[in-house]
Amino acid sequence: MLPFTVVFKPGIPAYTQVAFAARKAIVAGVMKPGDRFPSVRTLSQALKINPNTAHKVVSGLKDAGLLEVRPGIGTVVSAGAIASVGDTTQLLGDELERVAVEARQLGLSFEEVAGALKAHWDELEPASVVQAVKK
Amino acid sequence: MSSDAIATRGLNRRFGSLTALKSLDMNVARGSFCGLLGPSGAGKTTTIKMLLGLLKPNSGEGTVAGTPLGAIDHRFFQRVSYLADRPALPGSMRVADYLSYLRPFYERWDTALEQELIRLVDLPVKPKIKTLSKGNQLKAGLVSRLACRPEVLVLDEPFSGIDVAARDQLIESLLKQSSMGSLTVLISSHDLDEIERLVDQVVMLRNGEQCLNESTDRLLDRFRQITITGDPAMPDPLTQQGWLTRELNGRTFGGVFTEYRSHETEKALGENFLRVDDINVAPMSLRSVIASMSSAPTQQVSS
Repeated sequence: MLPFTVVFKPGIPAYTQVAFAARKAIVAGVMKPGDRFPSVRTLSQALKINPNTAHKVVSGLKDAGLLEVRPGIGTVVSAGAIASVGDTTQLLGDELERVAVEARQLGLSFEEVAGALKAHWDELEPASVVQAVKK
Repeated sequence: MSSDAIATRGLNRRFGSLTALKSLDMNVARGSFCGLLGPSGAGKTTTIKMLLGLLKPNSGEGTVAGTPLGAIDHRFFQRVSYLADRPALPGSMRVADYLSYLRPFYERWDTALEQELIRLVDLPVKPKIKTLSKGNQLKAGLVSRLACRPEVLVLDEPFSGIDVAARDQLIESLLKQSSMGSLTVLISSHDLDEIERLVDQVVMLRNGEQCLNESTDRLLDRFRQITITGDPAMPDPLTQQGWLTRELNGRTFGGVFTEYRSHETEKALGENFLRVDDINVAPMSLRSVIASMSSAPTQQVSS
């Protein structure tokens, strides 16, 4: 069993979808620093994705500082995982600009957008994610 | 060339006046799963036959698992397995007897793997092959083609006419085998939803010519169905390179765009409009990408 679920949507590269699901599980605390991350083989077979794609997911998360290799144990969530996610907030610039543009086009107010963001934010609280996974 | 499991250069094949395959340059890296896609009659089966030495090219060259196409002999099939969509299996043999019969012919046959695959795909071994369902016959074929531990496996329409459970089991057995070594898989299929996440490379043929050859990720990243509604600043606002199809309908413009770059594309498009009411940019499934390429006017689509 994987510590996170992926509901695949067609048209988006599998790499993008799996890496996103893993990041989400880490920032929400479903996987904690030191927890073992599934192997390439496990990811590939459990999600029925190409082994090269699974490999790309694991190496991408390592490069981003979310995973690290511990000798004798394997690949685990790294101690500084959350901090290294924080360091990359500047990468969100593009995403936020897109949200702002789309919201304006839809005629939404800033408060409405902030409210919608808050709802997503709260969904990532560890308790609610654990419940969602259990469901 | 030698680092690729499959490589061809300028492969040509004519049947009388019909050009079945024109100047095919194709590379599949070791360990890759490559989808060989395209409409019926595009040249997929011709390609597969030439890669297996069953058909001679009129010109061009290639290697499969390190063997030049002109030098394919019986030893080649120790390392390259082929499963047709209707495999010719001996119907009157029991599955277990068929596998025992094949075993001594293959130097690298792995009996432990054979047993593991039988369990994994839930294959009954007692019945005679002709009494099995199509799905179970395919499973028997795949177990035999994988248990000999090939370097390259060629699958022609493996998922047609079988149920979902059998299909998932076949996919699992492929992934299992591939994780144990560097198995390269060339898979021709019309079931594109099933293979979207299985293949990491896509080669598409159309009228005997290659029109796509790239990683699945890159392909899905650059194809988008775009619709934009507003007041254009010019009669035809779709000026960018990369429109595969285009529809103009009153104030609504759009189509399939093949050079999508997050953000930049929307910005560049918007510049051709005085007023934009809505831009909709939708990712496309592999199935929609191939369908749009199949029906689009013939032209090389750059990547």
